[in-house]
Amino acid sequence: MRDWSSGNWTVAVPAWLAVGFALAIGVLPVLLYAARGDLDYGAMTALNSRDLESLMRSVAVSSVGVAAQLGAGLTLALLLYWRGVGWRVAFLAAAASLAVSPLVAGLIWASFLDYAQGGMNLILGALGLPGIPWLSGRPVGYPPQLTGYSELNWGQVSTLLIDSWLWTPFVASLCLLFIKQVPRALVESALIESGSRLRVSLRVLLPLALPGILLIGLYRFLDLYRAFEVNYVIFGTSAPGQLATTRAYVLSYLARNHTAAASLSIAQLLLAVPFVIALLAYMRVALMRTDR
Amino acid sequence: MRARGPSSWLTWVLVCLAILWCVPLLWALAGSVASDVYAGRPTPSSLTWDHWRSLGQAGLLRSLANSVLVAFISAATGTAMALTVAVHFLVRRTPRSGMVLGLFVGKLVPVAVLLIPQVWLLRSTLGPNTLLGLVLVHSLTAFLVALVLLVPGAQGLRDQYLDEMGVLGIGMAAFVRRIVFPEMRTHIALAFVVTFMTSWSEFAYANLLLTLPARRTLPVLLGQFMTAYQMLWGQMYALTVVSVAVTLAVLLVGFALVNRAMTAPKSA
Repeated sequence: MRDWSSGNWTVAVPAWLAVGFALAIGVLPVLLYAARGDLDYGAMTALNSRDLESLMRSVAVSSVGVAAQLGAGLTLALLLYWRGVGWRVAFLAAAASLAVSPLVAGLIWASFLDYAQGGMNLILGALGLPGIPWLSGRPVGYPPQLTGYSELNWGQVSTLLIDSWLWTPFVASLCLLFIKQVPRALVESALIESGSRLRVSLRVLLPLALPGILLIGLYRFLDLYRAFEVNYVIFGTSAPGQLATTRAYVLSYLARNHTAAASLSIAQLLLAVPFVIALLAYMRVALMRTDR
Repeated sequence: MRARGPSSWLTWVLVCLAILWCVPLLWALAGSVASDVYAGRPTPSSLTWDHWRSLGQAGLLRSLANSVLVAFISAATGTAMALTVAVHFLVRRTPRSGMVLGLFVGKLVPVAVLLIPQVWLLRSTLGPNTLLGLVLVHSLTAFLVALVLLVPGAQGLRDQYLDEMGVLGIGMAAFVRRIVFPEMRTHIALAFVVTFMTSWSEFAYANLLLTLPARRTLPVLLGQFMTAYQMLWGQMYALTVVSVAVTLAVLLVGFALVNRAMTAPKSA
């Protein structure tokens, strides 16, 4: 019997070469740059409460965005699954929005959401609804008891809307991919047993696809957490702290002071530690499950 | 017998959703042929092809070729590297979650930390305006993205096949060729497409690394239409439509090729 567990160089060497490449391109430049004295991470100690509030706002907005995208994506994936649509078709639909550069998507949407000239308020007006200041920092007003970083404003809603437009079809196609991996025979027997597609979806498809769906959620959270282009278009480089999420805030620093931007970025990285721990726990559970 | 009720209901819901989703793209399409685009809003007074004609003068074909080249090489390299790591996990009995975690944490690092050091190092070692520099950065991103998509699929193969292959004494190369590629074809195709799209629409690095008109990618060309003084909305909308159309065409051809390759009869 061939024992592959003791190590196989034909596989290990390319794998470690790939990791070496990642370190060379991802870590080495930062170390070399820091060695030149161009980065002063000591400036991190100068972070004030406004900076930290911006970081917390980023976590809050990212969480809302991920929940919305996962909810919509899963619903869409289940609709597609029961309609019998293949993942390739779903993916092509997802590609239509993903093919647009986020920067351009932000610009198109900014013009579409413009208060006076935009198409969205024209549609709302045609339906007899009042116009919404989509690109402003005016609070959404619900829930009214929340203030500070947890208070959602229309600008943040717009960034979430644009990000959802870009990514929800992709999230849906990934969810569909994971749902389609559930054995068909199992689904058909459950359908005969319960007779309800909704019940089979909730009790068979979603629990079995959960590890993959969690992975998508974590992946999207990380992307939203460090989103740049859409925030940049909506808030610009001179965004006031109470409006911007972290990435735009970092950029506003970057425009004036790279050291401060780098220090805030490191703080952003440290704040993500709980999510890294959650990821580690997930990976451990998922990998152990496959081991069993 | 086919259940017509729920099926037709679902079809209509999906068609309505698809139309709603396309509204911003239709907005861009209308803007690309409208003679007057004030503050990004297309005014349907008269139609014009001027925005499309000016794309040719701005170097559309060259930018398109650069984008396809960079995105294709980056996606292929990143997916191939991620596949080697995924297979390594599959073969090792001990889960190497730490290795994945270390790479995944790379996605947490804000661009502000990486952008300037990476651009500085690539420009000082490779010189300015090399597509290779952009390919290296995009390959790293593609590697991290593809890893997330491929590792779960590879782990799923372990229970199914690894013991049997070990008992039969089949070599690693044969295992990868006969089991990993066919069984993971969906994951591999998905990883390739996602990484292709990521590279296709990336702007920040491309804008800093490529300044020569001959080396611009599509997003950098798009950036040329946004100046401090004015926004050339018509050209920007036209280029957006081109970008979406080319991507869909590439994906359609790609899916067809992958499908044909995977369903072709095996010679051995």
